[in-house]
Amino acid sequence: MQKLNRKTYPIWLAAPGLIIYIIVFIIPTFASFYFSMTIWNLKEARFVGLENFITFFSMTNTRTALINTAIFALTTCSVKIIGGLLLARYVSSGIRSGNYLKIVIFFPYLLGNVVVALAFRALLEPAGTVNQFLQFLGFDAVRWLTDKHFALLSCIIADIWKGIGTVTIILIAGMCAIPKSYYEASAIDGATPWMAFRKITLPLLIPSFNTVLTLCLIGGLRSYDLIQALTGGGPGYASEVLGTAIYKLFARGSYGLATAGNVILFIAVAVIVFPINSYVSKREVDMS
Amino acid sequence: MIKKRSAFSKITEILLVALTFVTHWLIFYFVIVTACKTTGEAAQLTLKLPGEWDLFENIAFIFQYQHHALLKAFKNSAVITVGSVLFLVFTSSATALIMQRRSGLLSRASNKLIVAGLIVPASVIPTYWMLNMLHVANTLFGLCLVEVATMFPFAVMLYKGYISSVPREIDEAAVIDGCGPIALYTKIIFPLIKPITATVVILRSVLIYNDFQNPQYYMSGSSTQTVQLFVYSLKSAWTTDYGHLFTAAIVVSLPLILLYIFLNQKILEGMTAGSVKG
Amino acid sequence: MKKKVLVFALILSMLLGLTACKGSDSPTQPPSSDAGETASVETPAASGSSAETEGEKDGALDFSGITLNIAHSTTGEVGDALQAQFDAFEELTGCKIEVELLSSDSEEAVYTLEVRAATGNLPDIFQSSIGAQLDKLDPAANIYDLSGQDWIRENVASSYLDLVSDKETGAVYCIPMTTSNVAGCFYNKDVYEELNLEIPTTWEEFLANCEIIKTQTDKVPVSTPYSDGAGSQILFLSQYYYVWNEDPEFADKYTNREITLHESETYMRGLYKLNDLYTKGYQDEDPLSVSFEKSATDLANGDAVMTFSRTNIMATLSKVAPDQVESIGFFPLPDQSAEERGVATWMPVAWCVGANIDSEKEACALALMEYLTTGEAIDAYCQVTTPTGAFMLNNVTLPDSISSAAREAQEWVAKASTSVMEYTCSIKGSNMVTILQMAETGEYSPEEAIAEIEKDNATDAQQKGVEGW
Repeated sequence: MQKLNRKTYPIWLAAPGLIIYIIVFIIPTFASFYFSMTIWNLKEARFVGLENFITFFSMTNTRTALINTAIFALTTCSVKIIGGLLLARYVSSGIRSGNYLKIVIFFPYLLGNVVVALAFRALLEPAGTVNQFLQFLGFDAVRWLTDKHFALLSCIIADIWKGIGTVTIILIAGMCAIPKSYYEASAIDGATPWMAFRKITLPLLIPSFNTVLTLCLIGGLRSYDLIQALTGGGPGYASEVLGTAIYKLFARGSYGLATAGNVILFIAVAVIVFPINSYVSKREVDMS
Repeated sequence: MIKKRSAFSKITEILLVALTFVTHWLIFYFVIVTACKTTGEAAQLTLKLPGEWDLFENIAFIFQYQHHALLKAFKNSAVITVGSVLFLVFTSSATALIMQRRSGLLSRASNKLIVAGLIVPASVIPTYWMLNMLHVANTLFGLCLVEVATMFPFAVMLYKGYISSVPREIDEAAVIDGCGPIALYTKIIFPLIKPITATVVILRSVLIYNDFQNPQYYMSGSSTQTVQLFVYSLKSAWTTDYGHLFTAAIVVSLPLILLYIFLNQKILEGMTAGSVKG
Repeated sequence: MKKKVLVFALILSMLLGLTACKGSDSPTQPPSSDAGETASVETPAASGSSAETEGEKDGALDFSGITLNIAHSTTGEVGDALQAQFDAFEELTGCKIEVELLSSDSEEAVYTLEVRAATGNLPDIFQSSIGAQLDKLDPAANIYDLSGQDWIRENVASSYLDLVSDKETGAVYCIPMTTSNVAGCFYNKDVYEELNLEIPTTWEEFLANCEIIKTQTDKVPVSTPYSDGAGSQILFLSQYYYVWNEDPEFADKYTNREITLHESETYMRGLYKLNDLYTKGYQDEDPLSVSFEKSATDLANGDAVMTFSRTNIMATLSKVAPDQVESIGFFPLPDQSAEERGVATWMPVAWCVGANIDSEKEACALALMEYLTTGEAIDAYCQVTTPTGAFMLNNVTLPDSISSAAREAQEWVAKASTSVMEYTCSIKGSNMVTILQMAETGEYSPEEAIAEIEKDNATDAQQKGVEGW
């Protein structure tokens, strides 16, 4: 049997993919731990120990970037999931416009981040459409992209606009997989819709929930292009996130320091996402 | 009770649909209308219809900008998208087949590596360093390799999940009929997993076509632009020339928009299938 | 139903867009015949005709079939002027020039080239900063030595050659690409006349003028295009003239870590000046969203009265407000004493030829380099835009059409000037622009800003491996 297996499913068939993956993804990942501890100009690397990490944590912009990244990831993640959950619950309740809503809300996913950023920049310019509307209503104009209190918020709104569709669609699929009979039974028992939602939908939704949570968290922590194109991290460091800070260092030629930033991002993702992932997985309910 | 809910439900439904007009259609309208305006008119950023319809001029302008750089960018994006996706489909499905069917040490080890790759971010500059050692830095081929490698874990997980639903008996029957491994993979398994291939193709094409970060880093030293980089470079060159900027944004997004108009159900299904844990 | 209508409308608009794409191709083709200011396409027909003109020029310069790849990061009028030079050269020799635009952030462009130099992917011809910045590209390994060309010393100003040669080997790496830039204050003469203002010779007088403008009119005293990376640095960087005037060795001493920035009062005054504009309310209301172009427009129509800029603003002015060019004047950034006024200059960025250029392209690239240093090329340039500074070439005189503000600036160059600090000191942190922007909007006091700048510079110096840091 073993022999048959080896002949039918030879390792070399799996090799091309694995080799590319290992060479272009795994090895650089391990190498990044070494390069993060060097002063590096792509040609030669001089080992300096943990100095880059100390520098990274002592620089004003990278420290701000760490905090902003956390805020950005948490806010976008929670709004997308709560909003997506409500939308999904509603859209999947069999309303006539359900399909229309799905199509429209999901659409921004197909646009590039640069394109989304462009549209939002025009809307949020000082004399842009949103401010024209605010002033029409008698409010003061808001400097959405150049006021330090609003810049990160603007990025968050744009990100939610683009991403909430995906979350909704995945959650809808999860809800549709829950057998109708559960709800019928609970209705007979006199459960209110809210109780049914809490006691049936939520627990049985955990696998999809886990997926979107992981997706949103990783996306939020890694986010880069939307912010780069929308505010470039400004004003000051008000919307600087790890992604933009690392790019700045890369563009200035500080490759060792930029790689240290990458390793910190790596650790942050691992420390935050893995435990949440396994914690949520444990609550999974077997549906069969 | 059901009746009462439906009254409330109807109002919410109307509100929700109305809301999409503000949050989505108004933005699409704004972008399209602005793209039709002259530079001066577009700079006012109003929702008014254009006084002078300038769409054709704007399109002509962005196409001939910098010696037809946009056409080149389209070609590059097409090569990267099609190349990476083809590469990805064949390598990841083959790997998934072997990993799903075999349970040896190697299979388990690769499984661990691949699950980790689902979550952790790629390390950018060491990847560049690696590409450079392979002499493919700043080439389309190098960028394709990066795209394949970053998408690989996700695709393998999807394929593995799907292949596990293909009964082993089919393989065994094929082997008895004299199928070698290649024939088994290409003639028997691959046709059976077409639905999930469609999912992988659709989802990953969108991501790769819209990718900005990888091309920006890995093609930073080259004349090769993708459409996303092209739009970004316009943004820094024209700052607030929104008439031309939005024309470029629409033209660049057009392939995916058209795809979505005709295939929206397929894409939504694919999105759903792609979210199921492997 | 509603949905169907909307989707239909969407499809319709897309289809319109599609036919438009098709239609757009035809109108773009004819322009290739007039090798004019817009980027024209090298169609087979066009190259055929240039081959004919080739024949007339007794075949000395026949490079048809050769394609040169050129990378630069210049956009706007000057970018068009460069394109005009290339078009003229294509016409002359039948070669084909493919231009690749690098990031318009010139520092980012330098690093793009550095990555390419490190990985052996340099284009045939590329732009480079000069002075201390040139070293980053490791010129001895990556840039073609032009010192053997007989035209180089004849055509290029020797003061420029000093900045682009290797002192030990005598190798010459670059030729000037555009014109030099002089930084100072550009002001609207009409408004000055209207308000009876005198040209300020000290910073005190300057502030007094601002106060008058602020109280007597609703104009912005100083337009501050801080959304632009360059715009937010000009005033600060041009203060370097006074720093240099006080201590010509300042840059070297700083590189060797013998002095600090915050201890130099003169250096600090640059930050205090920025701070004055902010605290006294003499700048734009939302400076971080003011672009360079908007600033020029405001200055021309008198909505703003002054702005600190480089002479390249005159090129922008001649585009946005051609009638107003002559009503703009220039004076140096004022400091403490009327007698010691002077200006900081930026030397033209440079063209370099890659050291590893293919042998069949070599002659063509060198011919292009020579061509770009001749009066012919400068004529092509000047047909598109009026130069705003010196070309740093011998045998080339500035055309009469040069604006009076640019002329005044050139007079100051002859009288009292130095090039900015980055030509002699390569240490500059990655966050300089952001830190200045924060100082300019009151986020940082001058003291906080200098502390941040010194920290940022230290990181940069360490990452570059500068000795002693």
